[in-house]
Amino acid sequence: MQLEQINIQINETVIIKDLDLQIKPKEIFVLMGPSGSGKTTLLKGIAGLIPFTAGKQTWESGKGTTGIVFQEPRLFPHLTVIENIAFGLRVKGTPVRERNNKASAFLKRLQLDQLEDRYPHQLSGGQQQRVALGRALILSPALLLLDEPFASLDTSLRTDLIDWMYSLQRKLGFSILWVTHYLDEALSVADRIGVMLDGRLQQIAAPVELFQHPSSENIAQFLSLPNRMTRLQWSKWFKGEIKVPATKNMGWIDPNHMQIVHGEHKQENITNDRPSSIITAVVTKVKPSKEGFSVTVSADNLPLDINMIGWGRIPRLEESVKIKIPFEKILWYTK
Amino acid sequence: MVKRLYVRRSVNVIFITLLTLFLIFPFIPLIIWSFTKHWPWPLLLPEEWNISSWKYLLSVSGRALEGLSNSLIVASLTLLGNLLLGIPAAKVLAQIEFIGKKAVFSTLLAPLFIPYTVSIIGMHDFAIRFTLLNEYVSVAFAHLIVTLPYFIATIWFQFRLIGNKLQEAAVSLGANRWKVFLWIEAPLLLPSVLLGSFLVVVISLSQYLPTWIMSGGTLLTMPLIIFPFANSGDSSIVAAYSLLFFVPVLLLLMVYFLLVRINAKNNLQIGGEKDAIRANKHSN
Repeated sequence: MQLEQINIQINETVIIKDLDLQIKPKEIFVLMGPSGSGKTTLLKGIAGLIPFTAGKQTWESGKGTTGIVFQEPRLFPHLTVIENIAFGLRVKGTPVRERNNKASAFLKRLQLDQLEDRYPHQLSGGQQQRVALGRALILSPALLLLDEPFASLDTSLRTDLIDWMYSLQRKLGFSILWVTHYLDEALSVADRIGVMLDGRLQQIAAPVELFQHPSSENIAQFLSLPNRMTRLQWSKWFKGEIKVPATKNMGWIDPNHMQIVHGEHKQENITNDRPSSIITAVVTKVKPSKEGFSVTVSADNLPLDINMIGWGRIPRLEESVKIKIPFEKILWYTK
Repeated sequence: MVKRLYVRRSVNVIFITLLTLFLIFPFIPLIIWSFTKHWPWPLLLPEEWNISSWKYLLSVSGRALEGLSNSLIVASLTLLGNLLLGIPAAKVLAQIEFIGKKAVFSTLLAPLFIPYTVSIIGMHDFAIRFTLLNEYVSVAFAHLIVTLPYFIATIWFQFRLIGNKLQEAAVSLGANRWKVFLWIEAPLLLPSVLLGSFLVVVISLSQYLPTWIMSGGTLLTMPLIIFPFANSGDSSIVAAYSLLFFVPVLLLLMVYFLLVRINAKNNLQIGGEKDAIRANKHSN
C-alpha cells in the first residue's frame, strides 16, 4: 500500500500533514510517536473510517483491503465468539453454513476452538483481543492495522500475544501497520519503524538504524536515548578534537558501555586505537535492575546513566566516582 | 459477617414488602368501590354490595370497549410516531456533534418543562387549522408531543452508553449504516426501546386534555369516559372504569417484562442465526 501526500483535517485542525508512506508486502511496519501525534487518525484514515482531506492511497495489486484492531477489543457484546468472528463474512453475504465453517476453522488457528459459543464478557482480556484479531483476519486483509492492540494487557500476556501475532503474520504473510508506544514491542516485531511527530512521519528506518542514527534530536528524545550530549560537551570530556563529520553535532552512548572505575587512571588520547576518557562525577541516584544496578551520576552538572553489571560494591549517594567513556561507543547524529 | 448479611437481607425484604403494600394499597378501595354504590366513613366495609357499575360498564351505553379500543389505537399511533421520530433524533443527539445541538435537545425536551397550558393552547390552534386530519391521527399527534421527550430521553441515554466504537468496528468490517443499525445498534437498543415504548403507551392512555382539545371531545378514549363520572362524584363507576383501564397497562407491563426476559435469555440473537450456526455445528 502506498500513501502519497496524505492530509487529514478534523474540525479545522490539520492532524496529518503531507504524509508519504509505503508498506511492502509481508512487512511489519511499526508506527511510533507520542500521544496526539496522529497515529490513530492515520490508521482510521487508511481503514476508511475517516476521510482523507487530500492525498492518494494506492495498492500494488490495484485494490487492497484492510482490517483494523483497536486498543480495546470492541467485540459485539450480543454476539458469541463465533458470530463475532464471522461478522465480516455475514456483511459480505456469505451463507451461514459457509461462514460458520470458515469461522470454526479460524478459531482453531486462534486457539479459541473451545470458546465459540461464549459471549465476550465470558472471555479474558487476552482471549477478547484474539477474537478481535480473528474477526479482522478472517477477511484476509492485505494490510492489518493494529492500534496498540495489546496495550491494555499485563506484561507477560502482552509478550505472549506479540510472539503469537508475529508467528501468525510470518505464517499467513499479510502486511501489518502496527502502532505501539512500547519500544520493546516495536523492536521485537518491526521490519521497519516510522516515528511520527506532530502529524508528520519524521523518520523511517530499520530498528537498528533508527537507534544508531536518529534523524533529529526530537526523534532521539522520543526514543528516550540516554546520555545525549552535544559535540562540544563530548570534546570537553575527551580533551581534543572529535573526528566525526561536522554535521553530527550530537552524540549518545548506551549506559551499558560506560564503567565506574576504581584506582588511578590516566587520560588516553582520542587518536589512539581504542580511546576512552575518564571523567569525575558524583553519584545522584542508585536503583537496582535485573542485571545489577542502574546508577545516575552528575558530571559537569549533566546527568549520565550507567549500568553496572553484577552485584559488586554499590556506589553510595554523593560519592565521587570516576567514569570511563569509550569514544567508539558514542553514536553520532544531527540535532 | 453472616449476621450482617442476614440483617441486610431482612431490611431488604421489609423495604420491598412496604413498597409493594404502598403500591397495592390504593387498589383495595378501588376494587371495593366498584362493587358498591354506598360506602360511608367510618365503615370498614360497605353494607351493601352490587355489580351495577360493572353492568353499566359492559352495557352498550357504557361504551367501555369503544373507549378502550380508541385509547389503544391512539396509543399505537403515538408509539409509531415515537419510534419513527424518536430513535433517529436520539441517535443524532447522542452521537453526532453539531452547532446548536443543545438548543435542539432543549427544544425536543421542551414539553417536559413548558407549562402544560401553553402546549394545550398551541395544540388547540393546531386542531382548528388542521381539521382535515383524521381525529385518531390528530389526537396521536398531540400525544406524540407529550410523550416524545420521555421516549427520546430513554433512547438517548442508551445511545450514549453504546457510544460509537462498536459501530466503527462494524464499519471497518464492511458494514454499511443500515447493517450497523440493524445488527449492532438495534439489538443493543432493544431494552431501552421496550422501556420507552411502555412509557409512551402508558402516558398516551392517560391523556385527557390533549385528546379532548384535538378531537373536540368526539373521540372517546378511556380518560374522556371516566372524567365526567369523576366530576359527578360517582365513585363506583369511576372505580370500575379505572380497574378496566388498568387491565391493558398491566398486560403491557407483563409483555414488557416477558420481552426483556426473552431478550436477556437469547442475548438478542437476530434472525435465528445462532440456531442456524448450532444446527450446522451438530451436522458437521
